[in-house]
Amino acid sequence: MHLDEEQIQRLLENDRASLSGGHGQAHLQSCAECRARLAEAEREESWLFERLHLLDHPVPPVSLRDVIGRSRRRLPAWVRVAAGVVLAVVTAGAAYAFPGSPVPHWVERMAGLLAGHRGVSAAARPILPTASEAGIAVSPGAHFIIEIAPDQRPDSAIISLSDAAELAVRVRGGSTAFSSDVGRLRVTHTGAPGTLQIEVPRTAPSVDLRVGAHSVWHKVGARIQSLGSAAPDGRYHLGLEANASSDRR
Amino acid sequence: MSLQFDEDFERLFRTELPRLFRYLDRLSGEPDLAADLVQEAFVRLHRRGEMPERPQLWLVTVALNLFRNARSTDSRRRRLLTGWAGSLSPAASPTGTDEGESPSRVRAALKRLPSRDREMLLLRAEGYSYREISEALKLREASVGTLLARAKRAFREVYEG
Repeated sequence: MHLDEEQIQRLLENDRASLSGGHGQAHLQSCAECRARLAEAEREESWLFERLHLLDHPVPPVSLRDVIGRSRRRLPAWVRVAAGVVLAVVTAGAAYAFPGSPVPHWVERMAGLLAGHRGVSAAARPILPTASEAGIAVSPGAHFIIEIAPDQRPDSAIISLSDAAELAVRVRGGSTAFSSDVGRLRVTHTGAPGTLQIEVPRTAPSVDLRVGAHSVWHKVGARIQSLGSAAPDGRYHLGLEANASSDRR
Repeated sequence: MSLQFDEDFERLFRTELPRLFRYLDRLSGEPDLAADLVQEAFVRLHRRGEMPERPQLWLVTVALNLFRNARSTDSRRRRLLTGWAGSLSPAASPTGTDEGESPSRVRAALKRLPSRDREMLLLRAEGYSYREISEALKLREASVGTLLARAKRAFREVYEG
């Protein structure tokens, strides 16, 4: 059996070991046809190599010193990784702290999603209560609703604008429970009469105070619609009982 | 970085630089680009700080990847330019216009081969072993000889055609 093309090519590489044992070597010695094919393959390869030499340019003067110099100019890998981490942390911090940045809202949303949408969201934090006061602070995000249970409400509400980043809700008197969801806070008040105090961040894009489904105070951007007018100190005083009666009408 | 590494690196630099440059020069047709790529391949080896198991194979594989990346970037840029100007296609290059045994005729023939055949022929011409060729080009080692024979025939047909 004659040598196949792979074996002929491997002989060009002086890979005589690729011939299977003594049989292949013996065949090459005795077979004029295979020797002719090998000679032809050698001529073919020489012809090709001569053509390829026509493409050559002189080897450029690249110095070893230049190569080593370039290699050493770069910072070690751990320094580059550390610099990258520091840059990422600083960028993330700046994005979070920048006034009007949506990042805190995204973080809140993500935390809300991870918390399963139920109960007090991870971003809502209770304000330490005093003997007669309960409170909660939340990040208002793009749109926030404070919903007061119509049949379990405080008697009045005082709403003011603040420069804080979080919306704070406090109730003086009685017993109050808060439950929050993404973009929503529910307030349930029982017991003795109480006053709801709400501090709304000026930067909050949209905050709506509702008794049941009835909106009593609504801020969109800098524009405010309210059932009660603002006092000289800028605070809005709302009687929730009166609104309740209009709600019932 | 050990003294042994420095010695090995220097020896490799002296022996492999001409071969690697010639390979990339023939492959790209751009001696300046080839010089840059060879230098970058050696810089990367030096930053590695230790010799790979088969340094020649490591170098040519890195150099080939650098060349492909450079070509890919160049090709994207040319597509953008072509889309904008409509007149800068590769066909506008003067290669393949000369007659006789000229570099441009060899280059034109090489250009018409599939990239795998071109890379394989040029590696073989630089004396890389079949095993090195198979590993650098991700081919089955047992079929490298057959693929090389076909590539050589294809080159001759294109060259003489």
